[in-house]
Amino acid sequence: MEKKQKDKRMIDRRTFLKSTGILTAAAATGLPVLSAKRTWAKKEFSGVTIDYWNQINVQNRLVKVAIEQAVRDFEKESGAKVNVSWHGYGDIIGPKYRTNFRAGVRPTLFDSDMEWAGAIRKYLMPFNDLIANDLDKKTRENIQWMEPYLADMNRGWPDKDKIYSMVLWSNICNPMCTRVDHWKKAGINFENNWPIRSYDHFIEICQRFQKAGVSKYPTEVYGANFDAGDCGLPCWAVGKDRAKGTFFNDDCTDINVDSAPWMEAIQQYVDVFRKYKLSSPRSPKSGDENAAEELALGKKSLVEIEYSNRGILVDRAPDLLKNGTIQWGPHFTGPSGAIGNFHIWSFHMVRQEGKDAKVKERCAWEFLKFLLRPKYQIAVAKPLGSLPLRQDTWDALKGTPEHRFEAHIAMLKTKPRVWSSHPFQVDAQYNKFGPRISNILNGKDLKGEIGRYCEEIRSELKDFDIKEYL
Amino acid sequence: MFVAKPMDRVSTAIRENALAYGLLVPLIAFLVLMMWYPFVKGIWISFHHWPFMGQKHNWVGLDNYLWFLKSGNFGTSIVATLVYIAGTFIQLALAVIAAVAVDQKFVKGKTLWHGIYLLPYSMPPVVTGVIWLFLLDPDLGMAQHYLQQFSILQEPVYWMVSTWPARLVVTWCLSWTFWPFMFVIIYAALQAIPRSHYEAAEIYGASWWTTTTRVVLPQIKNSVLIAFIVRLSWNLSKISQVLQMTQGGPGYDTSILPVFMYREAYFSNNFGRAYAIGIFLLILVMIIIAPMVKMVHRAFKES
Amino acid sequence: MHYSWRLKLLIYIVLVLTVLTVLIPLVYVGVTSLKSSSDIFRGSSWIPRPLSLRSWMEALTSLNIHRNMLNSFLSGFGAMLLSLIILVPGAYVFARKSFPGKEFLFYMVTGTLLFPVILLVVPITEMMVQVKLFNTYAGLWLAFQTLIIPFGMWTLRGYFAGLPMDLEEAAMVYGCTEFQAFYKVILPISLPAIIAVSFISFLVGWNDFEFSNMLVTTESIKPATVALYTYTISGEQISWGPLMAMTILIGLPPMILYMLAQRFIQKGFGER
Repeated sequence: MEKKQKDKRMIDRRTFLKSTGILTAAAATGLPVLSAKRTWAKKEFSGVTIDYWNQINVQNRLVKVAIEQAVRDFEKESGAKVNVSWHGYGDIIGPKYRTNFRAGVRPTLFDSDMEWAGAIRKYLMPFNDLIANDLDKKTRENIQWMEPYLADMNRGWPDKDKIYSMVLWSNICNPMCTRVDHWKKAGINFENNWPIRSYDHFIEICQRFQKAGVSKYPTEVYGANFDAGDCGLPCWAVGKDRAKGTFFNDDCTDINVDSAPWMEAIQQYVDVFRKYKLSSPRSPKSGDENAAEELALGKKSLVEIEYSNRGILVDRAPDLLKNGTIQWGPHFTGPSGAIGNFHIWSFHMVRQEGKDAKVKERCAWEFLKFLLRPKYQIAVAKPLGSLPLRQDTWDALKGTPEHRFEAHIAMLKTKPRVWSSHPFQVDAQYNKFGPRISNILNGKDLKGEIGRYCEEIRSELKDFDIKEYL
Repeated sequence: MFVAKPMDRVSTAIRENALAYGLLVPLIAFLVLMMWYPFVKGIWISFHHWPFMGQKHNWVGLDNYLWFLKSGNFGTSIVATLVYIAGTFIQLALAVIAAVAVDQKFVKGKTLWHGIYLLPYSMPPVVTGVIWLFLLDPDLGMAQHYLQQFSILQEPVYWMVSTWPARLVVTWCLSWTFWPFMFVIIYAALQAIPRSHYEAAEIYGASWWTTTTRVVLPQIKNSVLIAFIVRLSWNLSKISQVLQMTQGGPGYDTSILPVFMYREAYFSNNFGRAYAIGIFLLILVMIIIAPMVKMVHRAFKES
Repeated sequence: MHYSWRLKLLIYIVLVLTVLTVLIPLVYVGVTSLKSSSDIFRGSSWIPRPLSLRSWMEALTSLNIHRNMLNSFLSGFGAMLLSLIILVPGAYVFARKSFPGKEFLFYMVTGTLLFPVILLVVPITEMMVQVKLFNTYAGLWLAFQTLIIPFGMWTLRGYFAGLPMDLEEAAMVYGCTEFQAFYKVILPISLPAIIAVSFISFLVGWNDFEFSNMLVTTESIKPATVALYTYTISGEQISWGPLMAMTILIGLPPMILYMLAQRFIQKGFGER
């Protein structure tokens, strides 16, 4: 019965997903079919060097290996040289990328969550023409499903029809991850209770773990600066109300965090730690990385983490993944039926200057097309746990013992929201929000902290001029 | 009568002191370019809305200052800063005790002791921050392990999530790293005390304690004071450990003023607000060290 | 003076306790760097079981540690040279010459000693971006002077002032100009103090974090302290073993240099 209700809500939400029509329009114009395979002569790009700043490797050594392999193969085929630099989250959430770009230090292309690249949008190149004219029909068809999400991400920008991200792999946040052996030990039936249905169900199951002595702190809530507004809590908010459950409203002129759905979600989130004591004493500074690690080590039973934390699980407990002890599942939702936010991990091309500019840009685009080949889409998605852009590669990822792909699809079916790429989003979501949640987890007054937070954000939004970033 | 015109006086002065002024050119250039100009420019920035990425900088008057005062984090930051400053006293105590100890006539291998004591100060503060981050780790760290073994602690203290443990931890790390600075200065001052003073004390039959407290310590009073004032000011410029160990958290509880300023500049990219916070820091430092500077000045005038 | 055995014992206890406070953390770090990762997780122990060089291997190969340390060296060395150009003549003049405006200038310079230098990080970053010295060694060398000059001036001036006042006169009797007296007579005598200041300038550059972090972004210039800091707060899982090895790699050179400079530092500070 619950499933029927979910479908009903999905249909109601269709109006929310107006397609930009770019991809569909291009497919309909019957442009000449260009093969996604090599459209250039072998070694055409000899002598060309491009700089690629990579972030997707963070947390996952296997992904780094896969990317390195892809780079080597591309270099062999194209003759180009690709200089890869390996960066971390802090480099772009913090000011490093912004500072570099402003001071003239820019790569040819880089990957990151598109949300984080909002502040440097003016240095980037839109993909609209390239996608419309330079991809073969089959590829275009298989990447169409991303359209509504790209549109959602671009809300708030005056030029919202321009696509600045080439999404190659992306994640929906947040799935739940659990250990079946703990369920057995606690005497709870896994089949009947998975996936978790609701907040109350979640509390109930965790309490049963605690009572059975299987884990002292079965789950975790996060108060660390980079995780409080990133992993977990936004999912809870979107589950309550699809429209009001995002940080910024639809045109990014106001903040939603003091609305009723958010306040309820935050209260429930904090209760997990303060009222029910299901989360460890580290919570005010805890993050999904240590939760994933503790799950792998058996100290936790049921956590909400990110698909990209899979790297930690592979490092600490590869056998548990192989034999299906670790299982992924969709997050529980609430009245809205929507699960989570899309963490759109995409590639961006930077406008080049100088005499080699056009060649470099072309080379970067060819590299991206190279990564769009099914072989590499699968090679990176397998260890990373993300959804590749090409729908026709999805079948190859099904059927693993851990069911992460199935969990991902289940979440996708509820048509999640997307974090806005507004330039101020990063500061609002990480730097300013994190300490507030940390304070509330430490016992400070929720209304007061969130009230002050929203006041601060509103006063900044008032002075904010998005045209400066175009 | 021939009265020298002002310009003539200046040019004569320059000619006569040509060497002096010439040798001073690099210093003056440095002072102007790297200290005064940035300082004044910073004040200019603080009166504007000055985001790092934007081109437009609007005049906002005192808005940045008021923002900080009204943000609800002002009090927390001040308290955290005062706790951090208290670390200077820990450094002083360690430095004086160690210096007096090494200075004793019967102690052999003075250079070796001196050398070992210098070690924490010689390493980059980032390195000592990492060291203590590891040692104090609630689960893996040696410090908490032994405290629990000796039953001083019942269970691990997650210091990074609680206000006062976090403050104590960063203050301790600061003290452990920088006390050798005062040690070196005080030790040098002790070494400079002439032998004759000790001999005189001996003639009068003074005990060790009397000699130390009545003869030795008063002689180094000025050095101690100067070292203290300088160290206090410098401590407030050493924030890498706070950033590594607590990132200014939990919440803003260990965001001492310079850390708050750095976060605002480095993470939120808001230079106007950052410098406004910096001005508060400057005012606090001036208030605290003004009376001490007066003491030193008076002492120098007397001598 | 008669030192009772009780007093001697007390003094030695104080000395040893202080040494332990300083050395125990460092020794433990060294021990940890020789442990395997599961050994580290097992808890505190002083003997690695088994002895593992894996952490050192990882520290030396992953990340860019050699490049970073070279960058640290270059930024420190350049800062040292630049500081000598500013400090040596300047301190000399303050110590041994009088000229109009001296007292005013002296107060200005002493004032910089008490100024919380971190305040300048924000405007200096802005300045460097505008004059295109952002992310360059030259930018670092200039910025580091704010940390070096105040203290260097205080120390070196004190040293010069402690030299006998009639040295220049004696030299000029033999036919030197004022300037020749400076570099032929005063400088050689002051070598210990100048070397001490050189060491300290270099080490300020090597050890700095606050300026380097804001002024430098690319790997080709990034010093070791910034690399270490970035790794610690990167959000990745921290591997303690390699991290401990890295701290030793980065912390050892300045430790050794300070040891070498000790002699000069003592001499340099001693004369007042």
